[in-house]
Amino acid sequence: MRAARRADTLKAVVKIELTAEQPATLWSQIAPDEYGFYANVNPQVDHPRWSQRSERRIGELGRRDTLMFNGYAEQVAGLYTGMDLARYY
Amino acid sequence: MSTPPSLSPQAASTRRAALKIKIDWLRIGVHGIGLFALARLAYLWAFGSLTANPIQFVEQYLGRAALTLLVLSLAVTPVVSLTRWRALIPHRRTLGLYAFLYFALHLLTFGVLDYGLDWGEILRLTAGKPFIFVGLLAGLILLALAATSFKYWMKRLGRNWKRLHKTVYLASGLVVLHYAWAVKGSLTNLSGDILRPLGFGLLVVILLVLRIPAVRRRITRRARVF
Repeated sequence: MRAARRADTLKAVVKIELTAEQPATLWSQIAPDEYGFYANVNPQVDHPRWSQRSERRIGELGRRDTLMFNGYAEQVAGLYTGMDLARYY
Repeated sequence: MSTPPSLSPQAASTRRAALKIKIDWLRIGVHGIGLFALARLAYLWAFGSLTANPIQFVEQYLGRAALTLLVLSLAVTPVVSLTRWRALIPHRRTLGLYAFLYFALHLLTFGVLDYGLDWGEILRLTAGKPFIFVGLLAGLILLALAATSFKYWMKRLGRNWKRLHKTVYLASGLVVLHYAWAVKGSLTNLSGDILRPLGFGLLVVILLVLRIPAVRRRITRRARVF
């Protein structure tokens, strides 16, 4: 299950389905070269078209440093231990 | 424009009076086209329609305006071949300079508004993202052309002026590449937002093909028949 995501943040869990195959996701269908399954924001790994080191929050003028795993690093980093995050993003 | 052959003082004064009240609609129209995107942007700003991400919107809007004006300036020569409407020729430069204006604003939006003159980050992006590098290259060409667009440089560079200004063909190719690379999606499977840059690319290709001497001669001859 993917929780914190780029544009479509999970709002309410209605159902949890366990599948044998990795399901397709909207963003990776639109642009498979750019978006992976996990869709994590990782300041250390560039998106192909831009750097993820900094971001601008909607309504703000300046940029701020991007936080690891959308700011939930403490809670979710453990799920990704041992994974190459430049490949699985 | 060469000076007219010597006129009698009377004829010269009537001529001057005639020039004074003559409204050059074509020139006004060309400036209208050049300023349209800026006026529209001001309108969108005034009515708060710059989307939820105004900086990104303005940046992309100005980039598209620059490319549009570049395509329009590239269209002048083929249109003159087709229609023999030679009065258009001087306006090619005006349109080209507007393209440069929009490029300059696009660059300023990127450097100042978007990245707040964070030179380290700007440098890293330019070196690391090919589409930014390509865009900068095209921009440098436009800068050189805008700087040498004056009559002084035209005279001073002579034959080389024409050679230099033909690099606008390269610049327009680079701008299309920059645009296609900057949008999401990919060219290989035609997914995402690739259609708009592809349309611009097609236009540029058509406008460049119409310049090939053999093609140009054919369309000019046909225009003469009609």
